[in-house]
Amino acid sequence: MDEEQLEKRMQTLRAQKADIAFAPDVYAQLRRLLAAVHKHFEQIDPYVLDLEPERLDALVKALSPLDRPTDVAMRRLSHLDMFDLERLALTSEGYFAELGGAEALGMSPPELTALTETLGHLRKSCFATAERSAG
Amino acid sequence: MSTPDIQETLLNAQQNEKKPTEAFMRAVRVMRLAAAVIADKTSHGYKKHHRDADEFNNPRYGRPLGIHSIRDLQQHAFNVLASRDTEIVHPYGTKIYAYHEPSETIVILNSKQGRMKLDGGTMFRSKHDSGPDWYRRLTRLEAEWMGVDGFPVKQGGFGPSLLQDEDLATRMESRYAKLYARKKHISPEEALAQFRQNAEDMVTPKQNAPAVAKTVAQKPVAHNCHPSPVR
Repeated sequence: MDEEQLEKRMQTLRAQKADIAFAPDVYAQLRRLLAAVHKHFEQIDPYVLDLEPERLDALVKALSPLDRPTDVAMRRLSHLDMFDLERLALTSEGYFAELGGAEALGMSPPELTALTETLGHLRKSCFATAERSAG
Repeated sequence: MSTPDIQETLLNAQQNEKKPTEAFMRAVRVMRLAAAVIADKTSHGYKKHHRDADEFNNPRYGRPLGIHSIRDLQQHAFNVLASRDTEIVHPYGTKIYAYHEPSETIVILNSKQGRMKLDGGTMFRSKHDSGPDWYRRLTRLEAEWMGVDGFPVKQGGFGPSLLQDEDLATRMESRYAKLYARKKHISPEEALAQFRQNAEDMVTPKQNAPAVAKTVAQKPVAHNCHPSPVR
């Protein structure tokens, strides 16, 4: 796949959007993770997490705080956003200590792995139709 | 015809003075160039934290590898790329993943056409006990990103790909020669000449020469990559 095809794929993923309902605890974990990655971004190897700082800023903005933390968070995100969130969570599993550990992240390593899996399930369930029609 | 095993061919060449083909020597050259670029990046670490280099000697998981210098790192990177135990996943033209199970090492080679426009590569060890699982999840995520069921996993390291795909070998050689040349402040032609000699040296029998197939270089040399205080 050349650069042009790669760009086309990114555009397709960016264009696919869905309303994602995050459970309150998942949303809180995700926000804490994003804050930690944002804070320690320079410690993460860019070859492993190939995400531009601007993309990270956009994700932080997209996952804005809730009025009531107990609410289900409904956010309109693109397929690309969901992939980037999952990639970010997966990479963070290898940078647990650098991101501040359990104290900063508010979760244990197995809980972080579970968060990555949850994001994968959410992505697949919300974008299954889009992917089928694209394929 | 099956693709020759890189390490075995190198050993045979050393022992029997039988010169491998030019295509084979070029594959070795490309891998040595890539290894030099990877080792430099890994030893200095992102933002010079030396984090990943230290991971080889003080791993959270697996055995220490006894890597004490950039030369050791280069040799390890080359071994990972050339080893018959290495799995290669080449998801798209701009990225290559290599996983060497015996040393729990993951190599990522990237070119600037990728999403982050990064050119070069990195090498690191699994940072938790589910390393192989983590690597497989990473490559599965890449496949899903591409909208495919999975990528073909090639066994036997990066060498077979370079031998089978002349265009890939040419592109990789030129790219890594440029990166190495920039690092050493020399011309790409000089870099290529250095690594041509370097590859020749590998097949020339030497008295008491270390076996190429040895997975981990053990000799302690000057501390060119300082252990990180972070880990």
